[in-house]
Amino acid sequence: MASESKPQEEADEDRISKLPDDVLCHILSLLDTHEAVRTTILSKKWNNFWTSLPNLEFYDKYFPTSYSWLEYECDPFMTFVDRVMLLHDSKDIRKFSLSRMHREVEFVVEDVYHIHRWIDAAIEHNIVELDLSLVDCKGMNFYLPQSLYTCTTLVVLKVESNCISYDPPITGCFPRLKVLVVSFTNPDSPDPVRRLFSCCPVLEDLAIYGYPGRDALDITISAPELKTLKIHLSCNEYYMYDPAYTFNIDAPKLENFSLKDPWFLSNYHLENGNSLVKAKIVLNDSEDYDPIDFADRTTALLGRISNVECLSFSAAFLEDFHLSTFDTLYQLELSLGGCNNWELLIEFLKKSPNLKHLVLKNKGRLPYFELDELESNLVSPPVSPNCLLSSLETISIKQFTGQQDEMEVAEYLLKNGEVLKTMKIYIMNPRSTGEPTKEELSNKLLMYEKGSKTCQVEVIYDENWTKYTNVISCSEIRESVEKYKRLSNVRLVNVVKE
Amino acid sequence: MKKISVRTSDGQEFELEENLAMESATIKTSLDAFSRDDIILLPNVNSWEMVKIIEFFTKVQELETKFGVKFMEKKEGRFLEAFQAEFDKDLSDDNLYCLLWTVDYLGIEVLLENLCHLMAERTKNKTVESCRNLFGVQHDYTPEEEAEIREDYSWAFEGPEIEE
Repeated sequence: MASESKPQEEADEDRISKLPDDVLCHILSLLDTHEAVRTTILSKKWNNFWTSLPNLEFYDKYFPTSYSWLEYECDPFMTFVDRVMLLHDSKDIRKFSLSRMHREVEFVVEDVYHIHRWIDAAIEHNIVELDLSLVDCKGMNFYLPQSLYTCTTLVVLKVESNCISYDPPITGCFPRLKVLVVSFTNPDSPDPVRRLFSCCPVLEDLAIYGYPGRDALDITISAPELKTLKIHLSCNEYYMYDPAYTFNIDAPKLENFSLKDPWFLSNYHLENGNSLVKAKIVLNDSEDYDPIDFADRTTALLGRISNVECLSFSAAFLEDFHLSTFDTLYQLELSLGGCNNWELLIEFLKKSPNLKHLVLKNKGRLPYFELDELESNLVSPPVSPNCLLSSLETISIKQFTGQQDEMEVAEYLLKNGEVLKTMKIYIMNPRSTGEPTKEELSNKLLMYEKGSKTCQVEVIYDENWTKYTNVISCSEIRESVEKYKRLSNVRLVNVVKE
Repeated sequence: MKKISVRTSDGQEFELEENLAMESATIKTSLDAFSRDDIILLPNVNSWEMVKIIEFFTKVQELETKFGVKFMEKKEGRFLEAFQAEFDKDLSDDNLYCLLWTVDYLGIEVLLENLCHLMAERTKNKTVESCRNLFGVQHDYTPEEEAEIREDYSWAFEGPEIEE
């Protein structure tokens, strides 16, 4: 480009003030806040450019984490935030993001006072989004200022903390809040969250992460406009037992529900699930818990969402389990944990008479099997499920390793899918020399009898196979059962994409 | 697809597909006022800048076809890393600055957003002097004034180190 004609000489002089202010301000707003502030030193014109930054992001990881009293009078991070808030001009602050996670010094009462002041300042500047990350506050109890609850411009609130108490007012709370994300980073939250999720009149998007409480809690979610709900609980590494929460969900307009409950001890009472369109349920279970209870509660949960159109379901070792009918289900994604989930698949197919699209994911084999269980042959049902006969058009099988039972599943589906249009099988690279190659698998699969004349079978090499790091093939299990008993902390990787 | 002809400041003529030409608010205004058969004069646009703009449109169309994502409609500020790197590599700071001005003048939103991100990337970890060069800023502080600012703003310079 250097050899191309450059702008004229006279243009060079004009260039000094050539870029319009709004473009320059926009570029500034794309920088990290601490960098944008430094532009004050560029020239006189730039001295105050930064003071109208619409988005302020303060991450303490960029600042010295510990300090000696001799070197600084006070915490450089807190000073920085304070000065920026003080010097900001009267223009609106659209987003205020504060992350205090890496301080080595104690979180003291003065810090609470400062943060309250900053939040108040942001509210005065018509804040639209507030992100707060206060983690590891060492026992300090932090209350959100009441002015935040009654703020008339706040639309998005994201809080990540283990030390925040929520005390929303009875009326006039969060009048414009549409998005609320609350992340409990460990079960030491000072007060159990009771009313927080019932006081947002126009809330549309709610996400709850982590550990809502140390003990069994009743959590009510009551939101008349709620469209999307995400509850992703974390595995409890902190205590010997896991609390069983009870979520009472009253959201008549709910369309999307995403649940991740690693031990599935909690109960979910979904009041009116009629509007639900899409649901994603991820349950990993542990052999420690009562499998009958697990199956019963899974049945109850799925019964409450039985009028969804799209379902993504992931669990392992569900036995003796009966579904209600999913009349309107047209898209299903199943993550099967092992060989005995043939029954699960057949049960889902039987109860989804109008299913059009099916995705099966082989989550890999957990190392709890006895060797002879792996040899079990799949028993075909006497009558094919309705959807296979009349509605199922596409099937995708992902993370296919070509083991005996997987081949039998593929064979069964191809043979009995009478209106099948496409079957796509995603094969991973063979992990050891004993396993079949892509060509061998491909040849076998393409030879299977097809129940539908128009069915196209595609065998695809899945280049992303290395992402599925916890997939263990049957042949590795055969090598050494002892070795896998030590891997008791293997977590199932769920690669279901959003 | 109708082609629109434009002529840059150095007399070179380019043909743009109509839908791409319409991405420029300035060209769109001209087209609304005049006949589509006329050549549109762009005295503020250099030919190398036009080449770069056409290169951008071509690349975006390739990406849209490959990934099936409508980047233009979404007005993404950042595209894929590889695309950014390639588009960025032969643009000197001076050229980036001029191109930014031109794209703002032409009113091509998507490309403007993209270039703003590029510019922001380039300011990171730069010394004060190089930042001034990047933005074409004339250093008008006296040494005393600059020292005073550094003193007043010492809190802003406490954070991450940059070379001085």
